[in-house]
Amino acid sequence: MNFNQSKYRITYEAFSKFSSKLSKAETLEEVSKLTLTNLKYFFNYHSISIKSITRNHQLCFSFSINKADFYYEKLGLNIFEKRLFERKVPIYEELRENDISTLTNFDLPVLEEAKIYASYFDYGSTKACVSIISDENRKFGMDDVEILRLLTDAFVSKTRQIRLKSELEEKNEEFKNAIQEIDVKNKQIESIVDTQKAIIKIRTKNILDKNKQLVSILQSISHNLQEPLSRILGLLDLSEGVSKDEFIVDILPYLKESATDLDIIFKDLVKKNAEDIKLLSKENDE
Amino acid sequence: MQKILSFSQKKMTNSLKKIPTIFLVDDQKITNFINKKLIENSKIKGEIFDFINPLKALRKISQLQPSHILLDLNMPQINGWEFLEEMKKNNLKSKVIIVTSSDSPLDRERAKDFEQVVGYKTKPLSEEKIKKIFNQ
Repeated sequence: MNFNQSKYRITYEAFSKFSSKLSKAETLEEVSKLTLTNLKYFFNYHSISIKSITRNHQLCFSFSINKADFYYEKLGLNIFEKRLFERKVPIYEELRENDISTLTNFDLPVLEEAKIYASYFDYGSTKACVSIISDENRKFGMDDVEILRLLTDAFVSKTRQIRLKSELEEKNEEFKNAIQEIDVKNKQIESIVDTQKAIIKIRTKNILDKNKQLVSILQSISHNLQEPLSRILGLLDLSEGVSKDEFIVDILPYLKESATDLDIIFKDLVKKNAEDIKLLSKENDE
Repeated sequence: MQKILSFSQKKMTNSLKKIPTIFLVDDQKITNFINKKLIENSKIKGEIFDFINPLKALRKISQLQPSHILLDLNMPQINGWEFLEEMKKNNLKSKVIIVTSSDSPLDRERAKDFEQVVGYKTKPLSEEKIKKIFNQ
């Protein structure tokens, strides 16, 4: 077994362990930490950045030898990434001192013959740009490209899964909130309906009470009017069988008295009922 | 017991021989006048006493032993129902004909509670109604 073969074996074993741990990670934090501790077993580098880009946002991970960082970014591709997006061809070239600070947030040691390797990956709706800064002391070579590809595949797929999961949870939360809101509104509506029902019940009872009062007023009217009226009818009935003199002496004064009684009662009723009706309509207004 | 029975029989025969006594009880003197005339016109034999105060009528029942009482329901001192209760309490057995301007089914129903009530007539009375009452 030569050196290269044993190096591959160790690297792939390390990647396989990394891979199985990665599959269990649940947060971007965990992914970031796990990647930082394992990167050094895959290849040499000074700094590496992995950007996964979707239509809505851009998720950036940066790693140095001992530090890791990740954040969402709205825009901003560096010059190498711009080139990658245009040409979709990997870049492997020497890096000028001035460009280093634009590529990494970390303070790197003084580099000897710094180089950049950058590559573009297409995962359908998600695109990824990976750029690696290396130098003579920590050299990233073309034979490391294959393991980088495997790493990027696993990494992007995992971060996308976590992102979708959190979006789903957010949506679920929104959905729950919406349901809660609907619940609250329903209860409000129910209470409004209940109040209305109670009001209708009270109003209906009031109307029934008023109707009863009106019926009793009517009964008293008819009874009070009936009494003198029946006298008048009785007197008229009697008058058919009597002489003119007898009528004038015995019956006519009674007729007159009864008619007067009827008139008094009638006037009194009209007055009294006008008051009652006024009172009823006043109560209704309240 | 037999004594009481024979006594009451004797009394009944006595009252039949005598001209019957009729009470008119109505707080309206005109109504009493009308009913008195109607009874006279109907050739009903009887001595008529009219009362506008029912309490006075009650006091006179045991003394004058009327065979018939024409009773109004709606009166200020005591109403017809109270009058009937008093009669019941004092075991006064005259036949009562209620004469009222109320044609209420409730009142008609209530009248059945008193066995001395033999008729229920609405005002105004007529000769025809009078004849029906006294030929019963």
